[in-house]
Amino acid sequence: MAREQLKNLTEPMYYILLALTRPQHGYSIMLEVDKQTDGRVKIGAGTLYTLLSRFEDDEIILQVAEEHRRKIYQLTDKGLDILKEEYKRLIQLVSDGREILEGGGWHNEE
Amino acid sequence: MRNKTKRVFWGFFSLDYKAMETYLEKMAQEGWMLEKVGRFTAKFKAIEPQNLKFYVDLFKDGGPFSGENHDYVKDYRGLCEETGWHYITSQDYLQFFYAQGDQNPTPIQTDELLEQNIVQTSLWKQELWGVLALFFALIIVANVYLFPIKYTNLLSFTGVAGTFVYPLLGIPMLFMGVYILGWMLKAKKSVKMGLPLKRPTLKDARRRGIIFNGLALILLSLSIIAFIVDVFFTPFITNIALLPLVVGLGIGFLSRYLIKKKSRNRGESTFIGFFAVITAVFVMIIMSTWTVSNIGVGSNNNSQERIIPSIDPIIIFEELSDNHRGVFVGSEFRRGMSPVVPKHYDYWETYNFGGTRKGVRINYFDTIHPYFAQMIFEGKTEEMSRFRKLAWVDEDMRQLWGADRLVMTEKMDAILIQRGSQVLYISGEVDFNEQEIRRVIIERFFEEHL
Repeated sequence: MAREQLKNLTEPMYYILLALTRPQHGYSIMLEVDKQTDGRVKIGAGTLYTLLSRFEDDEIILQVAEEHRRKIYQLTDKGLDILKEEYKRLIQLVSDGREILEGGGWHNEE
Repeated sequence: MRNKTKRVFWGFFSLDYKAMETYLEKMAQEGWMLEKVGRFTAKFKAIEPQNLKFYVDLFKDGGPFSGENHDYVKDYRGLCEETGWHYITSQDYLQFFYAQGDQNPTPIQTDELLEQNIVQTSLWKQELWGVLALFFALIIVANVYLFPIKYTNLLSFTGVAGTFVYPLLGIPMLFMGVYILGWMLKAKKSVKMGLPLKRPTLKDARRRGIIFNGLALILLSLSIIAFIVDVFFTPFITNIALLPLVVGLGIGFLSRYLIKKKSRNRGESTFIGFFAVITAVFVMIIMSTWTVSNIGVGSNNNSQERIIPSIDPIIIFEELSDNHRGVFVGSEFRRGMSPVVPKHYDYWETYNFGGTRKGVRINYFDTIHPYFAQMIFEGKTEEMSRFRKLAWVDEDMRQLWGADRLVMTEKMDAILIQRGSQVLYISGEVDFNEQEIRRVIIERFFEEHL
């Protein structure tokens, strides 16, 4: 189920994976996402717990250490590939949007 | 000074978990802070009235087998605490948190789709399976134990409650099943359309809680009252019936305590659960063996002193037999009552006649309506025909005894009479053809009594 859904990442998923390009524990992921998005994307503790355990089951992230009872995770190679794929897809979306909204409209109208 | 703690009827239906937050906020404003939540009641402690925020979350890895000390539970709670939610207590999947009223921590769930998935895989499944299991249990109990109505069930308060009241439990269960399905379909539709999950109002949630839990509670209280009354009137039988219940509950509570408080991971929880089931089965086998060997056929619970019960109407062996040369061996008298059979008893006495044991056994039932008397008569007839061949009774014979219904064994050693709302069974060394004996029986039980 999870793999199927990960074809398109939701916004919180995307930012969690971005944050995990370096080792982080749960709370620091939340702070990082909040900072990165200027408070636009908020991730609740329950939602984060669910997503982290799903990512871990799918081997997208990996626990790399434990400090003061906090688990520290990082992206796996598989996770990095998924993130890059999503990044490319988003670039494609933006570029398509730009072409139409800032360029000359749809090709078949020319 | 007011009490420091209080217990209140909880009675929330678990799918209404979001309405619990509103309730807890109201309670805090009135000066009561949640301490513990049980199935039917919740414990609150007195605090200064204040504005608090509450968050009731569904923990996907919670449930009956999830202990409070499991690592993943600690991880989850740790994360919630770091974001500003203080943990209070938990009940299976539900986790209760609070924050100060002036603080604004990020909600624990920020993804509707994920939250709905958790509801679907945890709570919904648990509730639906719970309702289905209870429903099937009810059908099995009804078929095996209650219906067709057994006359023995009419003889005790518990039996009568079981026969006439428990089937009503099916009604709230049906409501609950329909409600759960409806709730889930609506939730799915909302999420599909990108709308937030509908938050139930406290008023609606309270109403549902009363319908679902209140009715179950009333029926439970009725059973307990029926049981207490039975213990009072027929302590011996009910004590035996109580034993498996007490042992079962004991094992259940102990294993739940061990899982919640002592187990450190899921493996240990599963082991405790498995061990509890094995222990329960083992204890049940030992108890049933003990019961059969101790109170089975040939009861040794008789009295060496001859008792003539002070109950009306009764007849003793002396009055039914000319032979007085027998040596008293034993006798026993057990009486009982129920709402539909206010007076019934089982009495027997045995004598030794030069090596041969002879005696009499009397079962008498005084019911509130001939309908129940007929049920008892039919049940007793079936019981008699299991071990002895029954004789064909003609109309003359029936009239001779002045009975509405009459059954005799072929050997003429037992007779069963129903007249109006009374049923009488006598078996033993009695010459039922003897006119004088017949007259004594009829007068004693059916005429003097009227």
